[in-house]
Formats: sequence, structure tokens, C-alpha cells
Amino acid sequence: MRELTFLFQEPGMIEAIASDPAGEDEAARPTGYADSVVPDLLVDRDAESLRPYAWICYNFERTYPLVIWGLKLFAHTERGAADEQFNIPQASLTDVPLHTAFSWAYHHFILQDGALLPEGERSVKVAPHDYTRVVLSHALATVG
Amino acid sequence: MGQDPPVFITIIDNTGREKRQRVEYTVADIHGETVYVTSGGLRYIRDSLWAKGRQRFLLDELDRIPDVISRPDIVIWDSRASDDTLIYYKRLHIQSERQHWLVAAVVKLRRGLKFLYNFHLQESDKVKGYHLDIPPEIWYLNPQRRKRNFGL
Repeated sequence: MRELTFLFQEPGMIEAIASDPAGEDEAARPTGYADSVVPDLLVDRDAESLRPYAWICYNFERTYPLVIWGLKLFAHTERGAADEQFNIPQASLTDVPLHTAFSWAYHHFILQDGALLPEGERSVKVAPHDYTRVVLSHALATVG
Repeated sequence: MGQDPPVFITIIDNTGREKRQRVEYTVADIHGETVYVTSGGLRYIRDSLWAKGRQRFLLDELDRIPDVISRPDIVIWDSRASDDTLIYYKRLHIQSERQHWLVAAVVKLRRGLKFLYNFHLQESDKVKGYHLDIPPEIWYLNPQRRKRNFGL
């Protein structure tokens, strides 16, 4: 199973990079970042297999509901990404789909690091399958 | 590159906190506006390119960032953040790869100041959002290029 690494830069630049733990795929050629079926999400692929290996969103602090919901609904329509699950060592998560991975990233980098969680929720541990529900609930709760 | 940029600059993060950033250098972009290249921005770019093993060869091209910003082929507003994100694109010949690549320099505006946020490979001939019903707004187009060369 491939591993995902997230990089984040204020205010909302997020990248997820998939790698083979054996490091056997790094010499392959990229396509460069290209539009995907999910709004605001660009995807870079292996030029031969067209399998995605990197995803970037420039404005995740604003577009996270679109990105996470889009990944949940449409990820299976992306070439070479059908139903793939990932391990995320930096989050101690195993065997999770992309929408859960991006939900964890929003929860960790923006809600937790930005101190945006209500005081009572800061120390609450979220179960892996609950990250999407928690983050999208936050989106609904902040609709003005 | 500009002369004598300030050593540090203060930017405001998402939560209103002030963050000091060391300015490595400044670039006057194609319209003469100053773009700040900070140590934090460059660190992100290096970490990101290193992590993306397939784009790692771009690490040797970081000194071409000023050329991309000051003499781009096309600059668009990001259609998902058309008030604070500009994307400068330029087709570069990468000697080590023996081929041309379209590269993107992502610039964010914070309180009237422009900062470099990312530098990466872009799919050939297609800018971000090219396929949208309402295409991204063009901020600058090199007179020697056509917008159809970028999928628009």
C-alpha cells in the first residue's frame, strides 16, 4: 500500500504526495500538475501508467468542502485512482481513502494548528472513519 | 532581482496572528510589482519538490524563478481565488531533461503584498482551470503567445 505525505503552507496550500515505501517509483516521469474532476484540485501522474502520485490544492482553507466532497463522490472516476487506500504515517492512519486523508489534513493543519476548534473539541480524539463527518460538520456550522 | 529588500517582513496568517518571514530576495514582476520571495516560501518549494521524486529535477532550476515572474508567458488569476492568487506560467527548456516544461509560480497577495508560495511543473499547454465553463481571467499574456497555447 502506498504512503501519503502532506505538506502545508499558510494560508491553504496543501499537497499530498504518494510514494511506494520501497522507493521503486521515484525515477518515473511526471505529467505535471493538471486539472482533475474535483474543483481546485490538481493532480500529477506517472506519465507512463497515468497513475496519480501527487495532489495539490492552492486554496484548501476555502475550498475544503468542495475538495473533500468531490474526492468522496468522484475519486473513483479519476483514471488510475479507483478506490485506492493509503497509509499516512504522519497521522498514524492506515488504509484510508483520499477523502479521509484530506479531511485529516484540514482537521490537523487548519483547525488544530490554527486553533480554530472550539475549546471542548481540542482534545477530542477523532476516529479515522469520522474525519470527513467532523470536517464537513464544521463547514456546515460555519455557514454564515 | 531588486536591491536591498527588507530583511524581515510580517505577514498575517489565517487566524490573524503575525508571522515574521525572512526575505531572501524580491523580484519586479511583468507589471513592475514587487514579489517577495521568503525563506519560508523557498523552504516549502524545496521540501515539496524533494518529496515529489518525479519533479525533483526542478530543484536545479530554482534560480530561474525570477525569470518566470518577471518574463512570464501568461499570468492568470486562480479561478478559485480570484482576489488573492496569481499564477505565473512560463515554458522553460530544462537542460537536464532535454525537453521543454511548462512551470508555474504561485503568488499569493496578503494585505497588498505579493509572496511566492509555490513553484512546480504544470501539464503542458494547459493552465489551471482551462476546462471550466468560465475560464480563468488573464492578468498578462506575452504578446508573442496566444491564449489557445495554454488551453484557453
